[in-house]
Amino acid sequence: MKVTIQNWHSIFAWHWDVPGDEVCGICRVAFDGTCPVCKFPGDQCPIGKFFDCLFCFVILRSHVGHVLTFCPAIGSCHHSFHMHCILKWLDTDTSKGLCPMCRQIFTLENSNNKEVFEALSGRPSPLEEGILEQEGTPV
Amino acid sequence: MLKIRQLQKEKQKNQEGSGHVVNKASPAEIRIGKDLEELVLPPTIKVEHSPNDIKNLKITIRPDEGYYSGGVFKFECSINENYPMEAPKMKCLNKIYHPNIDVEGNVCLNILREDWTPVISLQTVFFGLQFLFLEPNETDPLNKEAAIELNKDRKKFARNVMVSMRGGYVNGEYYDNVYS
Ligand SMILES: [Zn+2]
Ligand SMILES: [Zn+2]
Ligand SMILES: [Zn+2]
Repeated sequence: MKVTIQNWHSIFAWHWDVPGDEVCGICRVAFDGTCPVCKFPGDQCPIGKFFDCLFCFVILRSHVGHVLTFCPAIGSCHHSFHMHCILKWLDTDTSKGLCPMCRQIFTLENSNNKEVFEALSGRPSPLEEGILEQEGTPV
Repeated sequence: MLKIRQLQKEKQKNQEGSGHVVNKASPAEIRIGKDLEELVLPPTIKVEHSPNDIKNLKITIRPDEGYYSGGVFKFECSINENYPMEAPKMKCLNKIYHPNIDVEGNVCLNILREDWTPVISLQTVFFGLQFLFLEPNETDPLNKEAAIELNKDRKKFARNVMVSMRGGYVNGEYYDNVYS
């Protein structure tokens, strides 16, 4: 059977809200794309799931290991990278846990991402206690 | 007949499979490609590579000032699959008298070692390399004798560099002619 697409309606467009550059400083690929390692994520994680995930961060969190590597990791220093890219860097000895841009200890700005970070790296996020406390206080 | 067709199909599939692997750029190659695209170099730095291998680059530095002015220094820059998590490896192909480059061609440049981060681009690496010829330094030396001379007596160091660059002996060690 042959299917010919005659027209389509786009319902929505999405875009990561990332401060500064639109590209990951490590792989130089746009955040709206995937990091180059994750072109075909995990165990045949279908692209469809990826779109589901964008609607709901709760679902997103349950896809740990597949889809989550797409989401940008925004540092408290306001430098952003693909989650996958920054995790790979922080895993090296040379990194000493520092942000590749400003050489401050890399900590995540966003608490959603903190859980992602821990789940993916299998270790506590380097999020400072001070920042956790700040989140509880009204701004 | 059916079997032959099946075999042919399988063969085709395998070929396609292997061809795909060869053609697809690896993450490291994608990043190297971007770095090379964005290169803006002065006439003193030349970068070459064969069309099908962007992971091994030939660098030529021709300093137009400083102790090493007028020399032609060739380097091999090899980049592995871990780039940019790992720094490129730089090797000097000439045997030269330089405090930060040993007689085997190993290069001591902070951004290629302890100060490497994955946001550093090849552009920065090549400028760093050129900077070693404009400002050789005596901290953390690879050629100790050269470093001591630079620290002690700059005029003598300059003379030694001149002698070595023409192809000659300094402190019993023969160095390559770099005026070709
Ligand atoms: Zn990236
Ligand atoms: Zn990835
Ligand atoms: Zn930073």
